Amino acid sequence: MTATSRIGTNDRRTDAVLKLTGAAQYTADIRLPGMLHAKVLRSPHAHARLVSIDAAKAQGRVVSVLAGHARGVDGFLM
Amino acid sequence: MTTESTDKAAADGRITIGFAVDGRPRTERIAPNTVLLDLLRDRYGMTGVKASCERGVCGACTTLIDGTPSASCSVFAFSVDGRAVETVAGQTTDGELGPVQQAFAECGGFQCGYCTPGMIMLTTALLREHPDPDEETIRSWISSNVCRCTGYRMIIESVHRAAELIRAAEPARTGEDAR
Repeated sequence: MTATSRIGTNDRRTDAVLKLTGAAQYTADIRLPGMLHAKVLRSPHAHARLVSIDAAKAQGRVVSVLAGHARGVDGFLM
Repeated sequence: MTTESTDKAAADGRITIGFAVDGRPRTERIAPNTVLLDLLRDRYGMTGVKASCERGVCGACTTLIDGTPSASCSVFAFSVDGRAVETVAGQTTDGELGPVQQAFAECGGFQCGYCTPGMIMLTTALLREHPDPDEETIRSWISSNVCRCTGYRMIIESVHRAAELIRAAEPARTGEDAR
């Protein structure tokens, strides 16, 4: 076996310390200045026609309510 | 605050608690509905405590409360008043991996790593109760924690290895009367 052979030896993974100490950062761990959180609200009814969206209750409590039609996406409101 | 109250709840409904995190004393004013996971992650920035299902079924957020493995997402922060909380952050000493972490490193007992801090805390508690656990005991204990990479075989090997490492270190720690 040459000095450079990896066969038959155990190497410690390069991500071992990060993941075993909890230092590894996943998407949910990242906080950025001014970061907003978004939530997708789906219809509770399968294959129903979405006729209208009343976002009045959310006003003042959220930064924005984005419905499909507001973004120029076809097929959300008929 | 103008009046002194014997009650811990202040006029604004907040509660003052004192507890220890990885041996460090903390005093916090919290809302009654604050859960331990959010306190650790959002206020202390301890993102090593992982948030996943947030309903007490996956074990990613496992911390030890007075030594008992607990899903910190499903524990009200007020309930740890006067208690000791242990997290993965307390596993290292001066940057050196602890024996459980060392075992997981050696055995490759992690893949994506998201369940790993919880698995490490669970293993820590398991080995305090069962220093030389059989496979059935290990399987039974880790059934509380989900590894979505499904790398359970190596996790079980890691627990066995951690038990060996801790036992091997024991005589050195307790001096000459090891036997």
